[in-house]
Amino acid sequence: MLSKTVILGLETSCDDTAAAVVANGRNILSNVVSSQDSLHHRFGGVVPEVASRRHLEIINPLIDEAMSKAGISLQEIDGIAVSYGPGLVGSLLVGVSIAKALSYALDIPLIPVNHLEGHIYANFLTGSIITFPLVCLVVSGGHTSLLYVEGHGKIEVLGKTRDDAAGEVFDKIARALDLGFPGGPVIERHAQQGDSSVLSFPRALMGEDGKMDFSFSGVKTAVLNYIRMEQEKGSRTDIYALSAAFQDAVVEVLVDKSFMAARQKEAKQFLLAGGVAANGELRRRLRVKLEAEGIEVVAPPVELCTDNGAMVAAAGYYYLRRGIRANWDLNAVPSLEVGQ
Amino acid sequence: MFLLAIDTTTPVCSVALGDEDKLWGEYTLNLKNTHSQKLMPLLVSLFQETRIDKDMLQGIAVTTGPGSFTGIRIGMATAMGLAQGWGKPLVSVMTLDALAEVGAYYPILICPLLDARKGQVYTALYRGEKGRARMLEPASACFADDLLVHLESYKEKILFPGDPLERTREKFKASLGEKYLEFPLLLLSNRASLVLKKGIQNWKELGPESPYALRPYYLRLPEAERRFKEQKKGE
Ligand SMILES: [Zn+2]
Repeated sequence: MLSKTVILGLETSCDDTAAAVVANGRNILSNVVSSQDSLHHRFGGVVPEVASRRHLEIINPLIDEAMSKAGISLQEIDGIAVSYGPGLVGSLLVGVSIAKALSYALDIPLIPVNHLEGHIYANFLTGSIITFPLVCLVVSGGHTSLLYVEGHGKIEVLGKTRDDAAGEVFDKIARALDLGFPGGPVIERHAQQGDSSVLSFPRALMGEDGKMDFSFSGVKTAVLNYIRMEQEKGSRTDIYALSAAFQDAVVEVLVDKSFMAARQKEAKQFLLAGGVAANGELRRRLRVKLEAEGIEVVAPPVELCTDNGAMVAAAGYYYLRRGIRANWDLNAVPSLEVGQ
Repeated sequence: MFLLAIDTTTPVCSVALGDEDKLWGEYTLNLKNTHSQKLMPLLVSLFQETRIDKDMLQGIAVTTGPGSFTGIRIGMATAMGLAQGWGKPLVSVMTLDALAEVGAYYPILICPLLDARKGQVYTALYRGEKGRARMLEPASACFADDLLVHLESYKEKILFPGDPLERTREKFKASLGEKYLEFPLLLLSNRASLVLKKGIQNWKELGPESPYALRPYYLRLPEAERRFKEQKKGE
């Protein structure tokens, strides 16, 4: 008989509350996400206390919804996987606390998942065959990291952002332009109607002695200064051209560094992950550049790029197979690093 | 009525198992800020040591605030997870109500105090009446000085259970003189057996609650929301 391992994945590391049921780390039985975007919209960014409060309000009904959509009961679950870091401590604690209590009540393993690694595992849910070793770019509102993955649990950080995460910069520019929150999708929409060649913003750390760290504070400051200068002059900013030029600067850096990393590590496969991986321009240009060199690019569908429980459940499945289980004293670790 | 009681809303992390007649077990730590690491190990070992089967439990009593925002959520999320996993109901207990139980059997005024930061305390006022702490004034967050002025109007002795800052307690003692009821400090902190007692009472009078309907009692808006509202008022 073929055995099936069913994992419930819980995700509350930032402003999305999510629960999902995944079988054998590959088949999504359900995946429900409650986005808090509308709650944080008026603040122009995620307010930790507001996010934590919302998580607590909706996590139980959300888990029920995930169970009923999957068509199974809590008693049929084989393990509970939860993001315990990195992220906002108050938010993480809601998921961690409820996961501990549920796994104790149901007498099943509690699996502590590194949220960043969770993003990588979103690619295991795409149906593509994932072959190690590979290189992965995790890029979101909280992170920008290039990772070399030799196998499950064998992850090396090749480079990461030294200041702002790419997604964070999208949010800040969108806020400066009064376009709302989150910034990624709205900037991308505006960029589609703009000419990116009209303006040019700095690309940081380009090709500097093979280093693969990122820095986005330069482009952020340049764009914000430009916006302020235009406002002072009283001229109307062409937000379409500005969005296009800004996106171009960020995407170019991401693509070039990704290419460099994949080539250096002689990877045959490249995975894209994280909220900013939903950006169409990034996906398109990454494919063009890497596939020309014979490197296959895998990217999850948009709903699996942003934070979700399915990626946590998928990661949890592979963690569990490696014998990783948490103790009852599991705590949230807001600055958890990859491979920690 | 056999209940598990949980409190993590104050510096105290406490769990208890029992019914009207017997406290079967209770663990209490007063160490601040380790609730997320301590609560589950305490709870697991409480069940192990008492050998109480969860089937004996009718439900879970949990404090919903006021208190530390994070503390409130750790206790509630844990209680809600257990309730969902076991399919058992919950009963909520207001932190100040639980603290007032300390004096419920004495004909005195009871004024629980918890540190609410920003120079304020969370408080409410009760009178002990034969085992019931009857609420005279509802919970609020206020400045110690304002509360002291307000307490002038009462002539009886007042008991102050809770975990306020030491200097707050000293101030109350100094300004109230005779009216300040001396009581061993180690009996004044919150603990889960108080939550258990109040929880049984709430259950009997108001009925059990669903984990989907339980709401925290923060008593205060998030800072960002408060500022946002003030800004709007100003415009
Ligand atoms: Zn994420």
